[in-house]
Amino acid sequence: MRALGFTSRAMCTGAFLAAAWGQQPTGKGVISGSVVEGENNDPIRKAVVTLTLQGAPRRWATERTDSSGRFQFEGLPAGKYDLRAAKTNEGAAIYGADSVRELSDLITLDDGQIRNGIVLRFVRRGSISGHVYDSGGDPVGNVNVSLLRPGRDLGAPVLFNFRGAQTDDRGEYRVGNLDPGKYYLRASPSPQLGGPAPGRHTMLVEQYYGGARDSHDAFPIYLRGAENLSGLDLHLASEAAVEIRGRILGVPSVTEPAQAQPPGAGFRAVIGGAGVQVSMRPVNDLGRWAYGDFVAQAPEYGFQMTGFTTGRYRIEAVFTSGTKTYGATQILDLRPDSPEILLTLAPAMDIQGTLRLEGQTSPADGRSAPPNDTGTSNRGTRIQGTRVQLVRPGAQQQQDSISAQVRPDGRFTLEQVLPGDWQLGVNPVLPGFLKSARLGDKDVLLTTFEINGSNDAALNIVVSMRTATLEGEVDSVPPASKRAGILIAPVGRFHNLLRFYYDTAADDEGKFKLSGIAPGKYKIFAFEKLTPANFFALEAVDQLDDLGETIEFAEGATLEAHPKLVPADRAMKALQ
Amino acid sequence: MRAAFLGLLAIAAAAQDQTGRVEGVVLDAISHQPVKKATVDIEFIGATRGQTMVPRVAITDASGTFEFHGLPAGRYQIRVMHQSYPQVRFGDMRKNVEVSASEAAARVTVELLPGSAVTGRIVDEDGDPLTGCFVQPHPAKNFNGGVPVTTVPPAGNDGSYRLVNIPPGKYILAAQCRAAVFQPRPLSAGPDPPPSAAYPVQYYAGANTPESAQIVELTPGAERSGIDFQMRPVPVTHIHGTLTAASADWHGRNDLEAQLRPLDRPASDVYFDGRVDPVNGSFEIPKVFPGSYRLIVFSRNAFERGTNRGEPPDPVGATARVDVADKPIEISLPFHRAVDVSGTVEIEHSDNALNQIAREQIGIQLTSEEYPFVPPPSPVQPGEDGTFTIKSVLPGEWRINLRSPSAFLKSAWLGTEDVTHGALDLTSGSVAPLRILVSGNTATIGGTAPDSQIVSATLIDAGGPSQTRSERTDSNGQFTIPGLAPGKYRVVGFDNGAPRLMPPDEGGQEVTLREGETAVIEVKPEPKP
Repeated sequence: MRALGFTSRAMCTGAFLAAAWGQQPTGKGVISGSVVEGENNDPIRKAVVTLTLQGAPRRWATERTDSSGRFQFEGLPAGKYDLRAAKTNEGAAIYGADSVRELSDLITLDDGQIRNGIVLRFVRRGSISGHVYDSGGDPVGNVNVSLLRPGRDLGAPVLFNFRGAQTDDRGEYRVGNLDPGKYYLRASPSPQLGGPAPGRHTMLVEQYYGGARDSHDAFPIYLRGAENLSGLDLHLASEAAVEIRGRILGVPSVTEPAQAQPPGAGFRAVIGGAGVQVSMRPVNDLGRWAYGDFVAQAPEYGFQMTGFTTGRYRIEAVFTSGTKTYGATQILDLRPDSPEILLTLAPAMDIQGTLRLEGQTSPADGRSAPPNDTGTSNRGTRIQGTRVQLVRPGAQQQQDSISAQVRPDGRFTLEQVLPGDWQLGVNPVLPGFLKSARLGDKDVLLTTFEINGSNDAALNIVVSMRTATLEGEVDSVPPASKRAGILIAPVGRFHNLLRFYYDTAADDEGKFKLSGIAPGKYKIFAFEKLTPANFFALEAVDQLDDLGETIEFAEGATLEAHPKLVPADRAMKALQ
Repeated sequence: MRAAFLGLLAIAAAAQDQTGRVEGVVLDAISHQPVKKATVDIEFIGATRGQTMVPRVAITDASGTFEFHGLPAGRYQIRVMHQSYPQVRFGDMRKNVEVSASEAAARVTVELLPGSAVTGRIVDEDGDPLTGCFVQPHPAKNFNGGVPVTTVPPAGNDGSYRLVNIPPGKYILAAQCRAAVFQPRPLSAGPDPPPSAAYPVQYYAGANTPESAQIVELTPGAERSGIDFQMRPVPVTHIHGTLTAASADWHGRNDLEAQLRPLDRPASDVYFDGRVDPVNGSFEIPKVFPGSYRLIVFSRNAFERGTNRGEPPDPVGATARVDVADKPIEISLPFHRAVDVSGTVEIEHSDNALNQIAREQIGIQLTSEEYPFVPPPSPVQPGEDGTFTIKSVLPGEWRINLRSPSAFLKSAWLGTEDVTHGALDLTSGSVAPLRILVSGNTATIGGTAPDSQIVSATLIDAGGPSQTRSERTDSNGQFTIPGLAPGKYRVVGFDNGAPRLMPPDEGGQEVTLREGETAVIEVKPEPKP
């Protein structure tokens, strides 16, 4: 038997913890209190209470309430503290807040001060439940029920998967632990039990709550705080399966056997011989599963398949011969009388490109480069690990993307990119902003663009580290609280892009600081006592437009602002 | 136009006029009532030249009936699924049917045995509901065999759980909770300390091991309630590992993965899976329960083996057994590159022409339980002079797997060590020549198994993982399993779909074979678990 190369070592747990946590802050202050049910003041036992000292680095402590709902933190230094409690899957409590939409009140602790009797009011989260039935009124099990929330995809309104559940054998589903808000529901039968599948002639149809087939017609569900909405039933209709027929044109002669897919080729399965892989995926919403992969064979490269519901699909054909890939894609409104689909293959291409950093921090001394540095140097390590990615519009699945690692010199190669519509992403975008992206002379920044077989232009991307900073103090009239949620929302072309919405919270003196801002024109809002994340819904911000102040940032600028407080009741109205 | 579909059997008929029909009914095996809305699909398992096929799916009506027509003559398998019945059982969800080109329909009746349900609650040491918990049924006779439950839903917020569609039988029920055991944290920055306590797996009713668990019998269509678990935390510790360069260097490699597997569980049961820090060659494994484990570190490029990318360049690895008590473990692992194992194969001379085997009929492969997810090196054929080389074998314990339908491994030596029934220790990164003697004088088991569709013979007491060969019975219920090494076998007959539920170390009948011997036996089917 081999000699084992290990030694068991009794390590002092305390010593380990000290090493892991570093320097402990010392103090003599005490904060204690209790967590109680918001409705009736009953104690909440075994809630995890988190006390966070304001400042950097973030320092926090956790305790758990006893059977009387009590907690106590000792040995605290002077400072301002955020205090909150939570119980998994049940709810949360925030000191000084009556709902999860509100900011906490900060607790100011002087040196050696003892603050007893702090009360946290527990707010329970809500749930949504119901049944899924088929057209005969029988419960359907194993149906994926998706809870969706409204969002944006490159500015366009979409629904995205927020949470999910599966019906049990009684057709019952339940999604719990939900904050108040606007939701949508969708039931998607599985291929095994009436959903889309090859060979099926009748099938259950995917449906939104309220009976809609399309997300644009979906019925919203408004969940209030601590509300348990039950009886949200979905009745799935059956319909005759729709057949697709088509042909692949322009398949090149096979001169060499198929080989392994090239690096970065993403989802393309390699088909031996002369088959063309064809896939069908539903489009419109994000996060839907794909189905319908099959092969069109030589010599005619025809395909015919049943087992689809009517609707909008992306159909894509991929042919691989050796290291060369050919493809075609089309958006298809599938109907029972849809004509034959013709897909003409075009060669995929390698796209060469560069990613240039502007104004990056010098790794040697940790200081920022001078503001006028527009050089092309990519020194340092920040660019390492960055990937450039092309994604099919509306796709949420990894296989619908092609990505390439950026080399230390900033160059990258996206290999075998298929023709069709794509969107560009840079992940991570570093602590900077995507300043420009051009494919040849075409602006491809934050927009959908087309790649065709004749395109050999380079993809040039610029990421700037020269983000802007905002500092300020809320302008409020006493007795209004200066504690406020600060939001800056873009004006103009990028108004619908949530990635350009920045937020922070002003402290109890109304002071705030926001950094990492992409340059441009914004409106700044200060929402009294409300969490700014509430206002990442564009419809709400638009209603408050006249209460925001315009501010414009140049690259690398630091500005000061004194936004007027938007009263809480006025801001809450916009959220209704 | 022609079309072919991945994974399907099917296309359009070349001779549509010579077709037949299948009519059938799906019944509940207990109530004998029709089962409506069952999904029935039909698979072509015997075609004659020139025939093509179409994919077919039917749904049973209110009287449980279904029909397929326009089927080319041949042999078909019918598979029935219904959401209220277990998805995989002992073969009676599948029925074979012969279709002839005539007016008369082939008739088939499929009986579905309803599944069982189990309900209960999972609470913590104080009796409060625990979240993040699952209950998993294990067959009592074959704990590691797995149960075809379609989904194992998590327990709800009130700690209640409900498992449905479990095939009737005897089970051990295990509860596992991912919920963290609370530990307070003083005011500080940085990550939380590793947990000092966690909930171990618990077996009904309150047992720590499967052996001490209470067996729960589930009957068709019945719901067994009150299967409750009260979880109690136990101390856990953590492992800090560091690689030390031996025959390989880890510096700068960001493709190294560490895995920890309990030694008393199946090889595929990975307890921890994480990356090795490429900067300092270290890794942390938190929340380790006391017990014995196998720790392996290997390069992810080893996964490329078996793909058409060819042999991976420079695979590396390290392995060690780790015994964990209640103290943190610090372990340093010598890190080795994969080795090439070279040797010679000698074929034993036989005067009997039937026992003579050719070099081309022999494949030598090495397999290891230490790398259950890493493809083993491809089998190699000895050259004309009997020599062979198996490339890029990761450090660890390996066994010789002779791949030949008509020969067995008679003896094997690694240098001066007899490894005929034992493992090759390739931990140190170097290896002596391997000498293998192969014989064609194999044994045979044959006979009748009138009520079984498959007969399997498992070599027992041979050391290492069990070796099983299976053959289908013919239409007369006869079977022959040739090419067996001498030794003691357990012979079992069963239906399609049953192997996952069959106990590997009991049941059936034992047969001891000598070299060249043929045993004739009658095989009776195993009772369903």
